Amino acid sequence: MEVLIAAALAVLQPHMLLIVLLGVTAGLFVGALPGLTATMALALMLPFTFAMEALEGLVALGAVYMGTIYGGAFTAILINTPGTPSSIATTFDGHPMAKQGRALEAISIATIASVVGGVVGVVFLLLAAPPLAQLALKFGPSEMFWVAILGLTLIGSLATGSVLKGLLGGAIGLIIGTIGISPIGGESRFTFGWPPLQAGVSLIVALIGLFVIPELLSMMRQGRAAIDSAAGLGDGGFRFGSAMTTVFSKPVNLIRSCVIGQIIAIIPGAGGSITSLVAYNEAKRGSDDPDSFGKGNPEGLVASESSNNVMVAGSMVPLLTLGIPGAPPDAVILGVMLLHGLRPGLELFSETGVLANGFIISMGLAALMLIPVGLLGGRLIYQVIRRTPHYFLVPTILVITILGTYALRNNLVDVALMLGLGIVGFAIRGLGLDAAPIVLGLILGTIAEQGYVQTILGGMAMDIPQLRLLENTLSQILIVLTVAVIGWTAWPRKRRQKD
Amino acid sequence: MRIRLNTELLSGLFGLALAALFFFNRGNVGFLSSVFPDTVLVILAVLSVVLVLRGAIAGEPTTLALDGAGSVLVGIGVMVAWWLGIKYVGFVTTSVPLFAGLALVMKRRAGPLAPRDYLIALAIALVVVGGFFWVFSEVLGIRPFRAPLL
Repeated sequence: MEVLIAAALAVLQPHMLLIVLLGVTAGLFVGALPGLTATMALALMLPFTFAMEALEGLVALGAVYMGTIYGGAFTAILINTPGTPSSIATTFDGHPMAKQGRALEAISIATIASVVGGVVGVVFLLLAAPPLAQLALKFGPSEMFWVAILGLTLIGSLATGSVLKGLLGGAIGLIIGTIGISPIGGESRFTFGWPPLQAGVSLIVALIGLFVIPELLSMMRQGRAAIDSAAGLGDGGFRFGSAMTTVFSKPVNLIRSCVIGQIIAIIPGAGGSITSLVAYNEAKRGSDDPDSFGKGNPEGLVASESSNNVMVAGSMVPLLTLGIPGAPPDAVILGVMLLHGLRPGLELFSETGVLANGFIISMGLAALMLIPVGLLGGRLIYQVIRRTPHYFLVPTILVITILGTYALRNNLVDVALMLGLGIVGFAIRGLGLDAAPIVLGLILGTIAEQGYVQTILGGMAMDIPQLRLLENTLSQILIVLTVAVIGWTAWPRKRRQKD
Repeated sequence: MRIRLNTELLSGLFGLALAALFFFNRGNVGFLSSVFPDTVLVILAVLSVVLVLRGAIAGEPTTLALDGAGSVLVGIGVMVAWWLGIKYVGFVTTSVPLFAGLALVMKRRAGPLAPRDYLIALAIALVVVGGFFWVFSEVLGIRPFRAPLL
């Protein structure tokens, strides 16, 4: 307890609060730019942390991380463009709310849900880091494969029209994910004689291409009308009070989303991108009115934003206790820790408790800081989009997406892939093939392939190596969960069809 | 203008075409690199065939509006030109005229353009393109595009 008080006092110093404020603000604007990820934001912050004390550097990175994940929600809500992969599910209901003239309400709900998620994640981290880390260690290749398969069942919910088309989209995402060097065999696949494809199709490239470019082409086709509806013109004003009521009126949804975010966050390699998708899916499944999801239901927005901000602190569990980065941005934080001579593990808490707990508490402060920074920043971004004439907004977004995509790997091939995927994405949207299942397939494909091939490798002595996938208890639990989820999704659909 | 399309049949045919494209470009890779994509290709093909059959037997045509298709084609053309220009000419020298051109084409749909509109479009293009280029290259330290011109 004394350590916790000392840690709290250390991060409540005025200069620490200023670092948190600046970090959250910088993260928010980076997160709002499509293509600029949390990993990139933290990497860009690295040189600044060299001159700082260890705690100051970690506090700055934690604040930027929290701000970036939250910032992704703005463009997701206003122009249907997820700023970061964690905000994909935010587009599903956030953007329809904006189209209905409820943009500021959506931003307020996203802010409060993010704050709740961020604080809950920090409390989890303070109370239960070591036991949660031990649980995460039990996930081997076979379990990771089943986690990915369980994730693929989300398609049943993500597909807005035909489930069959949703599944086809997922399969398209999976096959696009196999382009490039094989993660286990190390051989080059599906490059179509074009060597740059050996690097594969980056998730961010696909995300920007499939979400942003079709939206821009729609704006070009519809002109001012598309922007007016996209930016939620006619919004009545600031809706902080009603947003608070909305978020806390469905406590089960909020708690469930936070728990889901926490569980997924502690599994190294599961990836922060799927937390909001899983939470959104469960919110829809557990809702009294699942048909209103995707049409501007605030429950979906709460699920997405609370879970993805829980993930920020949650992914620190394996990092701080085991030294395993749960998500790519955590690797940057690990680098700063090592640079300052800090070794992750239980000793981190016993020998440098003030520093470790101070870092965790500062993330809670960063979450709280989202309220003033987020609401003011959100209003600013909203006003900019609302007041900019559509014929300048479209080319401006195009410039940002081109630069953002190029900045990922300093590679023009990524820009070509982004534009190509976007044009194809626009064409197949007319056929009822949505972007979300394709992106989900791309996210889960790598996890599924690694788990599948590594498990088979371990079972080569068996007559049927694939049977190794069914061997251990945790895998069997995941299989039962997958079957239950499929049944749960299919049953109401059949019942609706009968009605 | 509106057209009626059997989207189930067409999406199934698209899936089949994609599966064929990947199948004929499998190359000679070992078991560890091929076992997963081969499984996915089978799933992709099966789903596509089911969609084709459903579309052919019981598919109901969906009405699609083609209004503004010309603007979409212009947009796609601009995107392709943008990429080629960045690659072979330079980012700023390509982006400024294409930014201004796209803005003017979109504004023209609302009414005739005045000479002042051209000047405003060019000025805003210079500010936006130059501003973002400066932020990315000088502030964020992203290595600039390699091209003969800026």
